[in-house]
Amino acid sequence: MLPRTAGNQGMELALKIGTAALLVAMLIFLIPQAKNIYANTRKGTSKEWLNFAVLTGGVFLFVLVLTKFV
Amino acid sequence: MQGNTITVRDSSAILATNKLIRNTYILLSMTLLFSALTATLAIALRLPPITNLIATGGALVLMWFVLPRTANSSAGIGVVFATTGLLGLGLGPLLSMYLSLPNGPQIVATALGGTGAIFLGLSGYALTTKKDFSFLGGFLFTGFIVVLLASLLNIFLGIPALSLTVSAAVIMIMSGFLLYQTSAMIHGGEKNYILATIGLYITILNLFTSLLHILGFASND
Repeated sequence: MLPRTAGNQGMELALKIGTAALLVAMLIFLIPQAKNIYANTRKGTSKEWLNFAVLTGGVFLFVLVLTKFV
Repeated sequence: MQGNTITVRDSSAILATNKLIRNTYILLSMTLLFSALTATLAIALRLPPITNLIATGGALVLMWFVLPRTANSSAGIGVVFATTGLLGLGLGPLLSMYLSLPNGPQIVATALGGTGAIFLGLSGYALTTKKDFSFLGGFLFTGFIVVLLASLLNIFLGIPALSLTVSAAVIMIMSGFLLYQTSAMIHGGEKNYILATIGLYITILNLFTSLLHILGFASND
């Protein structure tokens, strides 16, 4: 049993390191783009933000309902 | 005369927008079907969890380095299929894990239906109201960076509550991206249907996996 457990632990560590490497690559790639988009995005009005908040609130409630079905 | 010119320009712009939207949704539905096929293949072959990592890495390389060079040619369609096929293949082991749970098929079906409903609802809203959601760009990208940082931290901390919070945040951010991307197609922010398709595909995929995570947690399995 010991070699199998050690193998699983090794695989788990490899998965963690690999996932972390992917996330770091994504951050390196996306941060300059995010900075550029942030600098060039127009400001929304309070009405537009409220509209967005209502829509995402609706999504949140919908997900909450879905959790009751499983 | 000037009025006629404006009318012709307006109608040609509307035609171009309608063509962009139609092409995007046709390609999106084809890529979704193709990735469902590759995911089914991964489940049938019982591919190991490392497949997800390798396939996602390959898809990111295609998306970042190959797609920008081919997006304006027919080769771009092949790259989109390769990217979405790889992402579908990577999704397979995750689906296998959820399907092995006692009520796994119900969780997967609910996540699939929920993702479809959110996509149809928000895209339908942006398309029918024609509201401009371009103001969300900075907020959504910053939010996504924060989510990536939290995910990175949680790989080594392994806090279930943080993992759940990240999934909930991803659902909210991806909902915003759906509005942002659909509005960009309508208002001229995105003119390439290949790039629009891949953007919407990634958003749907993230929505689905996060919903799957939350529903899996809610079912106490």
